[in-house]
Formats: sequence, structure tokens, C-alpha cells
Amino acid sequence: MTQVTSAARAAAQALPRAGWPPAPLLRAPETSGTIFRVTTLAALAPLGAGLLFFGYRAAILALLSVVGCVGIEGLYFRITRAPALADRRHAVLTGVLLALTLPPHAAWYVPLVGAAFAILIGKAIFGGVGHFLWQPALVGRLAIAGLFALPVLNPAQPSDWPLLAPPRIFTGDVTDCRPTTLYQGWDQTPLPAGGEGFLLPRPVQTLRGLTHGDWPVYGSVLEVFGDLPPIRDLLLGATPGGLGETSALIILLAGLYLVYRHYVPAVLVMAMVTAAAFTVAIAPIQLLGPTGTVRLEWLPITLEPLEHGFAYVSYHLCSGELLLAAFFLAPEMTSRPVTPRGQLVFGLGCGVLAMLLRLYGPFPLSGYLAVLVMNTFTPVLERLTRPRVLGRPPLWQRMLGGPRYLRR
Amino acid sequence: MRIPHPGTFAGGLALPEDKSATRHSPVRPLGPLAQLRVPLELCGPDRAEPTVAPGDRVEAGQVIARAGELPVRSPATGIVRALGRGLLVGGAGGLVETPTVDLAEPMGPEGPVVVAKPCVWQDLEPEALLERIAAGGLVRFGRPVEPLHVWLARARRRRVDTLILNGMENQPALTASHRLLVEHGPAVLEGLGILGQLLGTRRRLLAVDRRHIDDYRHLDAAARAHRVQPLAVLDKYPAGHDILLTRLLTRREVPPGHEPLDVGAACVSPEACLALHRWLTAGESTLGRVVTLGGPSVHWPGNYLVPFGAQAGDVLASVGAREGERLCHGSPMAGLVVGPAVLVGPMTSALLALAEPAVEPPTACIRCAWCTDHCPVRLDVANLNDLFEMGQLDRAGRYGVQACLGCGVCSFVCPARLPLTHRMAQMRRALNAPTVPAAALPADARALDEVTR
Repeated sequence: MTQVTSAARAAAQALPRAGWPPAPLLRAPETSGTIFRVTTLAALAPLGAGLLFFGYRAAILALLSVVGCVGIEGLYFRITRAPALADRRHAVLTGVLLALTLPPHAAWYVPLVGAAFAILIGKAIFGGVGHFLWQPALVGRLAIAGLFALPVLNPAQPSDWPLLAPPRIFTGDVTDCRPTTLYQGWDQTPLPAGGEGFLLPRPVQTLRGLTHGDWPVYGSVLEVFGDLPPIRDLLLGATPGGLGETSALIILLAGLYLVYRHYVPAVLVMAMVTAAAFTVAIAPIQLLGPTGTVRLEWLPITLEPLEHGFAYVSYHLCSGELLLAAFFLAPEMTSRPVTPRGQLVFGLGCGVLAMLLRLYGPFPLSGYLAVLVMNTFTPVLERLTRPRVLGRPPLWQRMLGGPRYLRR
Repeated sequence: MRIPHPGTFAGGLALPEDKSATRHSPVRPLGPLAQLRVPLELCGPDRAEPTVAPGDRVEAGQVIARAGELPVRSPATGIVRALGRGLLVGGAGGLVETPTVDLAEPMGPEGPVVVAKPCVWQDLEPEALLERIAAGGLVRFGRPVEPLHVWLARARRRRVDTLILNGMENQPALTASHRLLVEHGPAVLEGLGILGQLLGTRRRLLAVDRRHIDDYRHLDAAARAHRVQPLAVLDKYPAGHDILLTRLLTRREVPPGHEPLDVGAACVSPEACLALHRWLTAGESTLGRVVTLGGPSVHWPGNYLVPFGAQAGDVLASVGAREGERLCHGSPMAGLVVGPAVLVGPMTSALLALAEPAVEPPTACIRCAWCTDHCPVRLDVANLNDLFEMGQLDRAGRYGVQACLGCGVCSFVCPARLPLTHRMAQMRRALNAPTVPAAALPADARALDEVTR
């Protein structure tokens, strides 16, 4: 009996005290909070560019979006006590990402409604961080697109979006912009009388003219460049568009920082941008023939001298929501696949789909829609692209009757 | 040293090395201990029968028990106080119970303990050599822990064509094998030569960390003498694991749940080679092993020759560690957190006293994919963690969780602080031992929910 108790005491002393975590005792310094915080800071860079070109309203909309997300998530947590929703930093990140996608002339309640959809439909009903299927900010953006018609600033051309003129940057009001006929690039155009900026078609809308029948049909790709702002404006962000969508250069820099931190898989971004480039280089466009008939031309990159073809592809890459989606929205950790090959397929799918929807789809938010569609396939992609475990024979060997290298 | 490039593998980590405290400290004997609790079953349950009774006086090197056919020798001179039971870290990485012979006031031997006549190993036939090794009670210092002659017999049946001396030791803070190679390198290589002759292998490799090749240049002549090819292997973190080393040096992949022997490669540790060499050429028996003792609070960190059966707490106290600190058995990455009564055995490569951690509660997985990216055997750890939380053990088996090496990389990188390595090990053990009810698995997951609530 004494031997048993002494053995039990020895066993108890040999075990570690309760509450100590198991090995490994070393831990990398980065936590989930770090990831959310750094991604939010990186996302603030395109928002800063938006502040410059769309004025103080950008800041108000972003603030409302963030406050909406945090508030609604806090409220939901108070009611349900769902543990995965306790982290406020992901709500902030969702709010900032939602703000990046908003039109700059939206009404004040639009970001609040978007935040409600993003948090409740996009995140909470799935169980919070780590469980949702679709990128929550995009769910909010899609709800906004379905619920609200944009305020019509220019009744003659309802699809025109505002952009502040150079003397009014940061301080102007984007709802007070006027149409202009003298547009010669952002800093060469005189300020319309009585307005704060210009009303212009978005570059992506002009490019859609090459493939959509309801637009005046162009005779050649070169003709389209006359209706587009110079590529320098697209790189800087001095074009109409969403709050954080326009500045290609800033998105690129902030996104590359995230790639460097390994928060964004490089393979996904590269696959998405490359697939988009190849798609627009190949996908057919409509051109007006010499006899007045509309003809369909494949491989638009080769229709004219190659520099024009490459310019056409670059305009497509730098305009619209493609880069924002590639660097900030598609790589959202929870809604993209975890396997490297899955990320490759996911990126390729996003790029091809984004461009096909932009060229031939009726819906204007093509990049966001493509990401949401591919998000839906994430669990399937993960299952199909699971890496081969070390020591397991590849599939073709298993089908031929198993490995031959075991020694019996 | 010639450096053919042995290639690399996907995953793994560049870890801080953290060896400067003990890398240059020569092996010393440990000071006197208050008691020894000599474990009798070093190689798992083996019906050990003590041949001594409480009150007997035993000499160092005297046979005090027989475990199966393996003689167990007393590591010190002293008086048997009692026959008890103790806990030891076994080959599977968990604690195993073993009967012990408790010695009061043990006196360590002054020098090597010669218990048999030396022999000329070159003159012996393989069968005679195997018998001689079996008589020595040698164990294999490595996974799985088993008598050396049992392992050798298995290796001979597998027609091993590559013999790898694993001198990598690329775990942080571990320097015991490194010191053995530096101080007794020629003897270790001769031990490898003995194994090579016994197994009939021409290809004998010495794998060392490429950061430290300067420390091993003096082994060149001995390596040539025993036809051993030295190789400088990359320093990415789990490259020193037997299975990855086999993959790097032979291009053969070990199927999940198997060992390198099954693909014709044999990995041995310097400790086993040295013990074999000493037993055959000098008749010395192995009564302890070199252990790295370290940690921030340890006054005299270093590499010490510790007798089997010393209690971890006593050992660390004798080098000046504070009371009540967390004890780490083995390396901080792949080791085990243990209590002070754990006994020193063949798997004890290090004992580290570490300060109590700032406990960060685990949060929900955000699917950052870093665990999947860094896994050296390419397990989809993120999805396996999901399966753990849902308790789907059979699917985890289909996903290949048996291939887990337990290296700790996934837990290291996890930004949600999830105990991923621990969970993978639990699933692996549950799959290997079907008696464990699967319903017992997600207890850890439930505890996680309580923490985050």
C-alpha cells in the first residue's frame, strides 16, 4: 500500500504543474493581433491617397465604416457571447477594407448599412474570425451595390464619378463636382466654374466600351486612349473610382509590404495579376470595321503595334478594382485556401473571372464579384490541392499499385 | 571537409541557435547527488527483475537487474534503499513508467568502469560481434529507444546500404552530441566503422551542421580511416531529424509510420557509436549520458556526464538552478515540459530550467496557413487542426497525420498560439493506439473555448 502511494506521489511529481503550455516553449513573436494591425496600417495607405483625391468625405465615410463595424460586432458579441468575435482588431480591419471599396460620393448611412451586412452576414453567422466563407468587406460592398442607387450627380451621364481638381485636393467636397468637356489629364484641366472638381467616366467604364455593345464602338484600340486619362494619373490615383481603388502605385507599395511580411501569399497575387493580364491580352474586343460593320477581334494585344497592345493591357491592370482586390481583398486569410497550389488556382480563377466579368458582364464590380465567387470554392480547392505528405507516393504511383521502395 | 551539397526540403525554419552558453564547455562529471533511482526498463516494458534487495550494497558497474536479456548495471556505488517506480521520457516522446532501484548516498565512479575484457572487433564474425554487443546492455540513444543489438538485427534484415551518423543536433540550446564529436570524434567514428562492418554498408556518412564544420576538421583523418564521408548539411531547423536527414542524403522518403531502416538507411547518434566503441575496445559499460544543462537561471551551464536515474530536479539544483522553475526535457522546440522527479534516461539530451512563461491564451485559428507552409513533411496542419476540433480521427489518418515528426514548427509560427504540435501528437497517438476513445480527443478544444470566453 505504501509503495502504491509513493509511486503515485512520484508520478505526480514527475508531471508538470497544470497550466503550463506544452512544448515548444519557443514562440514566434507575431500574433493574430499583429497581423490585423499591420494589415490595417497598410490598408490606410490607399485610404490616404483617397483622402487626397476625394477630400474630407473620404475620411468621414471611412470613420463611419470602421465605427459601424466595431459597434455592430460589439453589439453582436454582447448578445451572443460568440468567442471568436471578441477581437476588435479584425472588425477595424473589415471596416477599413470596406471603406476602400466605397464610392466617394455615397451618402453617410451607406457605410453603416455596409458594415452591418459585412459583420452580420459576412462574419457573425459563420462563427467569426477563421470561419467565414466570403470576405466580409466584399459582402458588405455587394449589399450596398444591391440596395442603393448612387446619387446621380450628372443627369446627362449618370455613370460619371467625381474627382477633385488639383487646387481643391483634400479640402474639396466631391458631391459638388461638374462635368467638363476640356479634360486633358488631371493637372492640365481648368477647374469648372463654381465646382470643386470634375465628373468623369471611370477609366474602367471607358475600357468596357471596347466590348459592350451599348457604347459607341471604337475603330481601333488607339482611339480608346484618347478618351482615357494618361497612365500617370492612373498610377497616382488621380482618376474617378472607389475611395481606395484608384492609386495603383500606393496599392502596389502597401501590398508588397504585406507580401514581404508573409501576410499575403506572393503566389496568389502574382497568379491573379498575371491571369488578368493574359485574359485581357487574349479576350476578343468589338471594333468598327471600314464598312461600318462591327467585327469581333481576338488577341487585342497584337492588333496594333505592340506598344499599344501593352498599353491596353496596362490600362486594364491599373484601372478599376483589380489591384485592390489582388493585394488586399483576395488574400484575406480566412477566405482563401491554405495550400500553396490552392492559392495558385484561386489567384488564377480570380484574375480570369475578374477580367471576363469586366469585359462581358453586366455588373460593374467585377473584381469583387470574382473574389466572392472564388471564395465559394475555397473549401473544395483546399481539398483538391492538399500537398503530398512526405513519404506518401504520388497519386499516379498509388494508382499503379503502391510504392516499391519499402524493404521487406 | 568536402562539401557536396545535399539539397534542401520544403518547409522548416531558420531558428536562432542559442548554443553559445554551452557550446565550448567540455564534458564534466556531475557533482554528488543525494540519491539515484536507477530505471530498470530503459527500452519500454520488459519484465525487469531486480537481482538486489533493499539494504544491499552495490558497486558501480554491478548488475542490479535483468530486463529481458539486457543486464542493468548500477551507475554508482551505494546502498539500495528501496525498490520503487519512476517516470522516464520514452522513445515515443511521452512519459513511461519503469521500476527503479533506489540508491542512497551514491558515489560516482572515479573513472571508466571496466566490466569485461576488451576485444579486437576486426577479428570477430558478425554473429559473434552481435552476441558481444547484446552482452553489453547497450541501448540505442534515439528513437525508438531499444537495445542496440535488437536494432542491429533488424537493420541486418533490411539490407541497409547507407549508414548515417547524425551529428546535426540542430535543436536550439543542445550541445551534448557536439561535445562528443569534438572531444571523442575518432572513437565515435570508429564506432561508426564497427556498425558499418557489421551491417556490410560501404556508404557511411557523417552529417554535421554546416555552421560548425570548423569544429570538426580534426576528424578528417579518422573519417578517411573508417571510410566515412563527412557532409555539411544545411542548418534549417528540423534538418537533423532522422527522417528528413534520410530524405536529404539518400533521396528516399520514409513512409508515414515507418522508420529510415524500412527504406534502407540507418541513422545512429554519436552517443550510441561512442558507447559501442567503448564497450568493444575497452570493455567499459555505459552508466550515464552527456546532458546539456542550461537555462537563464542556471549558474554553471554546461555539458555534464549524468548517471542514469538521477532526478531532473536534483540535477538542475546541483548546477545552481532556482527552485520551482519550469523544467524542459530535451530541446525547447521538440522537448517535453516535465516535473522535477523525472529520471535521466537515454533520451535525456538536455535539461533546461526556464522561467515561467507569460501565458498567452490561444485564440481562434485565422487560417494564416503558416503552419501548412512551414511543415517539413508538408502536412496540411490548418485543416488537421479543424479535424482535431471536430474529433474526426479517421479523416486525420487519411490526411497523413502519422507522418508528423513532432518538431514543433507549427506551434512555433502559429499567431493564434494554438498548441498545434501537441494536437497533432495526440491524434497520432490515438491512431497508433486504437484503444484510446476518440471522444476523449476534443477536450483540449473545449478547454480552448473556455479560455477565450
